[in-house]
Amino acid sequence: MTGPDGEFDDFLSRRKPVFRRPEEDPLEPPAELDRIVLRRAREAIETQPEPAYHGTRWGMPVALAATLLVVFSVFLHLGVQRNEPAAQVTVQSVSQQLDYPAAAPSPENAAEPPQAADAGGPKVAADLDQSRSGTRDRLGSPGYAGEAEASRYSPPPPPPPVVAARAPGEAAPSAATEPAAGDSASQSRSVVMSAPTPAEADRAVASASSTPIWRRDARTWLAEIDRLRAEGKAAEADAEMTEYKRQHRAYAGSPDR
Amino acid sequence: MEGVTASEPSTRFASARRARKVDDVSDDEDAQLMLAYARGEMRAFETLYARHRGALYRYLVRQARDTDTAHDLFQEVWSRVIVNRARYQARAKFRTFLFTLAHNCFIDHCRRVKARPVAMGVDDADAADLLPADEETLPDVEIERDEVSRRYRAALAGLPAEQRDVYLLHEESDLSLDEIARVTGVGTETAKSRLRYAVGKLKAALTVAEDVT
Repeated sequence: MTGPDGEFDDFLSRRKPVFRRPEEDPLEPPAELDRIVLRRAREAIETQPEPAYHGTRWGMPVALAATLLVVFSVFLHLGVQRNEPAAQVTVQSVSQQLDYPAAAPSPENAAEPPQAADAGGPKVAADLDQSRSGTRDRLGSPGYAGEAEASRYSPPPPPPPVVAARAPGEAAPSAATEPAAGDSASQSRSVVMSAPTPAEADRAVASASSTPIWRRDARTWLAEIDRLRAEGKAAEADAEMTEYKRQHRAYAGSPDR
Repeated sequence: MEGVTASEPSTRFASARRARKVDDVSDDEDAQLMLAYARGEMRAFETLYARHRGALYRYLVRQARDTDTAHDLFQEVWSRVIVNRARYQARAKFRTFLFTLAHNCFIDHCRRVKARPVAMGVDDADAADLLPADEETLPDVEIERDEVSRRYRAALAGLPAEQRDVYLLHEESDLSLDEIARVTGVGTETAKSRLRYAVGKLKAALTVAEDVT
């Protein structure tokens, strides 16, 4: 093979020397260098620490990170559960309150309304009777958004008489006290926004304890009027009706009456 | 030396032939020896060291052109082999791995001393070797042999660094062009071109010297 290319190919394949080269090459690493390298190699494997973990290089850190993540998540979950406030109002408790809103008014509570009335400002009639039943007040008060909704609930049974019935002819309260808020729609409408004067409020509260039982509930009052008419006591029925209309002005002006 | 059993070649081409033979039979064996050393077998390292110590030493001496520097680099290369034994994987020839470390060590050394010119010049002593010697100094064959050796080293030192690197890798490590390209981080054609220029320059320098003598 001739020419530079052929010569170079011969050189690459080591078939023929291209130029004259020294026959001997005495270059060898000295013995001292050999000893140093071999000593280092020996020391390296003699002092080689035993690996604590024989898995992949990334196995240990990944396992550690996963463990920490799980532990952190569990603690976070438990902490959230511990700090979560217990439910104060549940559906069941609300329904129980709505089903049994009226509690028997106590004499002590009956004495409290004048303070509320004296507090000043226009007050609705329902506010005057707050002491009777808090739940009933909530349902009947103007601030209560669900007035119509409140009418859906059945009225509680009439409370037992705790005070003596007011004698006939006794001065009826001039100011309208609130009817039972949980009554029918007409009764709901009877929650009149009339603001009683303080004197009227005082009289109403004072007479509350002597009010006949049937007058405490619009339905029973009307039933009593019907009963009187049925018994032929028209005069008493008319008197009761007049009193009823006076206390329930909305009823008096309602189209169905 | 202790623990080293492999014999060294007596001539350059004998070395090349032996390197090819070793390459044929023991590339896989070199890898196994390295893995065995990583497991703690010192005898495996001794065998490995005996096989490659001469070639690596010559490569570094020819590259550095300074014995002390070559000794430091030699130790550094083997230290890197020792340190990286656990990470060694038998995906490439051990010689490729070894000479890649050697090449990188030399590059690092040049960066440290900031003394690696693009084309290394010939120092005064080597330049003197390129000149024809006096006729009185060539009385016999021994002197002529020494002259050939000196001319060769001087011509080698006169090569640009990249060409000398490729040439020495070809001569000392007996790597293929592809492997040389991988070690030096260039393409195969670039490595081949560098080698062709290096051989041409060496041939020209040594032929002129012979003609003059």
